[in-house]
This record gives sequence, C-alpha cells and structure tokens, in this order.
Amino acid sequence: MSQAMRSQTSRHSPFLNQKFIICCTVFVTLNLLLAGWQMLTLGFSWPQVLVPCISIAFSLYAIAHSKRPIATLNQMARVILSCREGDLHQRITHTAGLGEVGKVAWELNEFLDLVETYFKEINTCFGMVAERKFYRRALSAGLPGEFATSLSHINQAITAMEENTRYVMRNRLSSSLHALNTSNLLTNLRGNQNDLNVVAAEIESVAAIAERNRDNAHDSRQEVDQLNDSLAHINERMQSMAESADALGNASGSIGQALRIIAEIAEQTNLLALNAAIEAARAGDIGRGFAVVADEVRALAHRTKQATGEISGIIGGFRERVGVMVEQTLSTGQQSAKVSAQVDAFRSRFSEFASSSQSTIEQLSRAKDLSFASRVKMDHIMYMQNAYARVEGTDSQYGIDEGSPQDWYHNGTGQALFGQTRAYRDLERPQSDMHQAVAKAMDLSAQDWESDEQVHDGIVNAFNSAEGASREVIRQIGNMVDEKHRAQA
Amino acid sequence: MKNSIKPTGKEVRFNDREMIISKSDLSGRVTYANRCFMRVANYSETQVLGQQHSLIRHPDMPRGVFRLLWDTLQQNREFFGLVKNMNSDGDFYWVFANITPDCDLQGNIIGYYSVRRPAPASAVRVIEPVYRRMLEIERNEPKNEAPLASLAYLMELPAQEGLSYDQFILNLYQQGERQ
Repeated sequence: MSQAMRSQTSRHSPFLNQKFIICCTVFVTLNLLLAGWQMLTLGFSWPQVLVPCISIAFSLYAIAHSKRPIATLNQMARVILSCREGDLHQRITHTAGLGEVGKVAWELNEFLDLVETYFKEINTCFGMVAERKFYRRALSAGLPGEFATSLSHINQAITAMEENTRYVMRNRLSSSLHALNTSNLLTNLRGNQNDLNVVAAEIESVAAIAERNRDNAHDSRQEVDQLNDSLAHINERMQSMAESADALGNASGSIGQALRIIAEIAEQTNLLALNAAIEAARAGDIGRGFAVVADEVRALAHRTKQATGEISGIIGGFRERVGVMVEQTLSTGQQSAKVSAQVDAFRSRFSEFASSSQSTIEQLSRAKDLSFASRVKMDHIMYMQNAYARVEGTDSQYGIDEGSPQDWYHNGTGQALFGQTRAYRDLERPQSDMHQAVAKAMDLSAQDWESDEQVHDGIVNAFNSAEGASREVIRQIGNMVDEKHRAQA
Repeated sequence: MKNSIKPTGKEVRFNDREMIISKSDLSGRVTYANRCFMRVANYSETQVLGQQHSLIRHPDMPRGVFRLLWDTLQQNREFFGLVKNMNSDGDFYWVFANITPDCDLQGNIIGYYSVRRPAPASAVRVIEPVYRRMLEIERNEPKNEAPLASLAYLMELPAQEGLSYDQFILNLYQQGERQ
C-alpha cells in the first residue's frame, strides 16, 4: 500500500503515525530537556525524574493505543485500494471501540455492501440473460436511491432484451422458413418453367399436325371435286346415250312401219301381178309377154315381202337390244347418281374437317400464346424471387439476370408474336420501372441495411414499387394475349 | 452456545429498506456480518466472526434446503431460498436469502456472499407447510439420506407448475413484494 499511498503530493509530508511518534518524541525530549535543565540549575528533585518517566510511559501508551485505529485506517486504505482494482469483496472487521474510525469503517463496509450487492445483481441477471433466462430480474429491494433506480432501469433493459430475443427468434424462424420456401419455390418454378417449355413445344407439334390435316383436307376436297365433276360428266353422257338409244328405238319403229307399208305394197303388187297374169292369159299370145312381166313382178313382190319379213326380224332383234341397252344405261345412270351423292357427302365432310382443323389451329395458336405468356409471367415471378433471395443472401446459385424477363421483349420474340397489340407497347414502361426498382434494391442491399434503418426502409420501398410494376407487367401480358385473339376472332 | 438456545416462537422483524448481509469462507465460517445482521441476530461482531453460519439456523428448517444451497453453490450458481433464522434470544425471523459465490479476479471461488431481505408473509405462508412436510420426511429417513429425500419433495412443487426452483421461489418473492 505504501507505494500507492506515497503519491507525488504526499511524498514530503509524514504519515499520521509518524507525526504522532514525532510529536511524542518531541514532547518527551522537551520534558527531558526541561528536567535536565532544572536539575542543572536547581539541583536534583524527584518530580524532575518522575515527570519525564511518566511522560515517556504515557507516550509509549499513547503510541501503542494509536496503533489500532492507524492499523484500521491502513486496512481501510487496503480495502479501498482493492476496490479500485475491482475487488469489492474486502471488508474491515474488528472495529469495536475505535470511535470515529470504527464508524467510518462501518460506513465504508456498508457502502461496499451496497456496491457489491448492486454488481452481484447486475452480473447474475446478465449472466442469466446470456443463458437466455429472462425471469431473473435485478432485486432492488433494500438498495437506496441511485442504486435502486439503476437496477430498475436494468430490469427495463432486460425486458426489452427479452422482447428483442423473442422478436429475433420469431424473425429467425420466419426467415428460415422463408429461405426454405424461397429455395423450394425457385426449384418448383424452374420445374414449372420447364413444363411450360415442354407444353409450348407440344402445342407447336400439335399445331403442325393440325395444319397438315387442314391442308390434306383441302387437297382431298379438291380431289373429290374433280371426282364429282367426272361423275357428272359420265351422267351426262349416260343421259345422252339413253336418249340416243331411245331415238334409235323410235327410228327402228318407223323402219318397221315403213316395212309394213312396203309389205302391203308388195302384197298389192302381187295381187296386181296376179290380175295382170289372168288378164294376159285372157289376151292369149298377145298377152304372153305381159304374162311373163306379170310373173316377174309377182316374183319381185314375193322377194320384196320376203325381204321385208327378214328386215322386220332384224329390226325386232335390234329394238330388243336397244331396249336392253336403254335399261342398262338408266341403271348405270342411277348408280352413278348414287355415287355422286356419296361423293357429295365426302365433299362436305372434307369441308367440315378442313374448317375444324382451321379452328383447332386458331385455338392452338391462342393456347400457344397463353402458354408463352404464362412462361413470361413465370420468368417474372422467378426474377422477383431471385431478387429477394439475393438481398436476403439466401440464394446465390442463380444469377439475378438468369432468364431475364425482358429477354423476350427485346430479342424479337415478343415483337413477332404481339407486336401489333397496344398492350405490348404499354409493357415497356412497367418493365423498365420494375428493373430499375430491383437494381435500386440491389444497390441498397450492398450497404449497411442491418444497422441503418433508412437503407432498410429503402430496400423495402424499392421492392414495394418493383412488386407494383411487376403486377402491372403481369396484367399487361394477360391483356396482350386477349387483345391479339380478340382482334383475330 | 447454539445448542443451549431454545426457540421462543417470537418473531423479530427488519424493514424493507434493510438487508442482512454476511460473507463466509468456503467452509461456511462467517468472515463478515453487517450491522443489520448483528442487530437482528443479536450477536456482537466477535461472537459471529469465525462461527459457522449454522449459528443462526432455526430447528424448523429442513436440512434438504441447505443441501440444495450447497449443491447450487458448488455449481457456481446463485441460490435463492426462503429461510427461517433464529437469533441469540431464540426469536425467529424469516428471510428471503440470495447467496452467491464470491470469486477473485482470476475467477476462483473464495467464499460466499449472502444478502437477506425480509420474506413476504404470503411467501412464508406457502413455504412453511412445505418445510414442515420436509422435516417429517427427514425424521422418517435414515440420517444420511434424509436431506435428499426431503429435497426431492421440495423439487416436486416447481416441477408441478413446469418451473425451475429458482423461478418458483422468485415468483413467490415477487408476488409477495407486489402486495
């Protein structure tokens, strides 16, 4: 202690006990000097010996008696020193009968009691808080003034810490769940995106099939038309053939009639020839030559009759055949009409088929656009999710620009599909708004958002406007598809 | 000295603004007691210093509680307890005791520091029958197993409420303090 006690200011002034010893020594020395001087001047006397002896004894007694309070003071100094070094455990004991010094020692003890109790409370409470036990609050009962006030403030702080810990735990849970959700969501969305690509490809190939069908149906209808034309032509021919045959039949009838007339003429000629022969026989020799002529005429008439009979037979056979031919032509005509009707049915079926193929193609085109729009929307959702994941630092496996939702817009795909719609043009603004807002959030997230509330709020606001713009983009994509197909319908 | 004191059944009190504070060494011998201690326990400093803390133990206190006290302190943790003490006249006083290990600057336990505040009457009403039951248990058990048996009974109370012993005792104290 003496090292510390001897500060610069007190180096030259002696301590109390030294002062006391010096005083006693001076007092005794003065007594001895006075007694010696008196003895030299006045001669020996007992008081001159006794008084110095008593004063020596008294001084020794006083020095001895002063040792305890001085020792206690030294003890107090040691205690205060160890307090200064951070050790509050020391106390001053055995102070009974030390009067003022004892009183000061007690006051120091009880002050240290308060200080030590205060620190024990704080240490224990915070030790428990470190173990996340918040039920241990500082006990301020029995502590006065500032001590109690300070402890009740500490209790408020512990309450705040408890709330904060709960909040942090809750936040941690929700952010863990959120991170889990986000990474799964991204994987799922990626799967959906692939599905949509597959669906688009399928639709494409179905559309190709439908187009082929439509073209085939067109071709088939044309062929059927040609077939129909050929059939009509055959029918016509049949018709005219039947008419010709009919005319032929009629003509052969007229021939028969002519033959009958010829036969009648031959008959009458025969009768005339016979009469002429009779008349010639009556005329005798003069008529002989005439009789020869008449015979010749009769022979001619007979041959004529024979010939007409033969012709009649031939004409009869001819007519019969013409009749058969007309019948066959008619039935062929009927059959060809039946075939013609069937071909007509074919024709209308091919037409139906062609038009249903056409509407299939139109619906497929709408479906294709819808699936394209879905994919674009999906890209959007993924873009936003990636942005969130990036800011939260939960997902670094996908880049922010991966499958950038603007690609389709600028690489000509969108222009080709929807360039004519108003909604396509209206997309430009919300798309760039969203991009800018996300870029702003990214920039802010590189700053100290964990402690700077302004940056924190900035990120949230940026995402809020990005979400607003994203909603608008998604709405316009829907409009774009509707508009295109309304125009086509 | 302590064996000769007969409990009087009279209560002495100290007020809410006071704390009975004492320190002891590792073996439980008193190394410091404040004036409130000496006034309430009615012992002089010389009578207290160097004595075992059991000097002020009341015969109504079950040994299981002190077993818990020592077990807790051995683990370098603070102990809370409602304790019935007895002064030199045989009068009793209930305290809400908080005992913590004293560590030096290197972290070694060099003794124990005990702060006692007046125990709320409501807490005493709850704990008194518990201690009576613990004493009964201790009387029926062999001497070396008695403290553990009664302690097991004491620990059932907080367990029934799903609390730790500390939480249970602190609740009793703080509920009483609020009244």
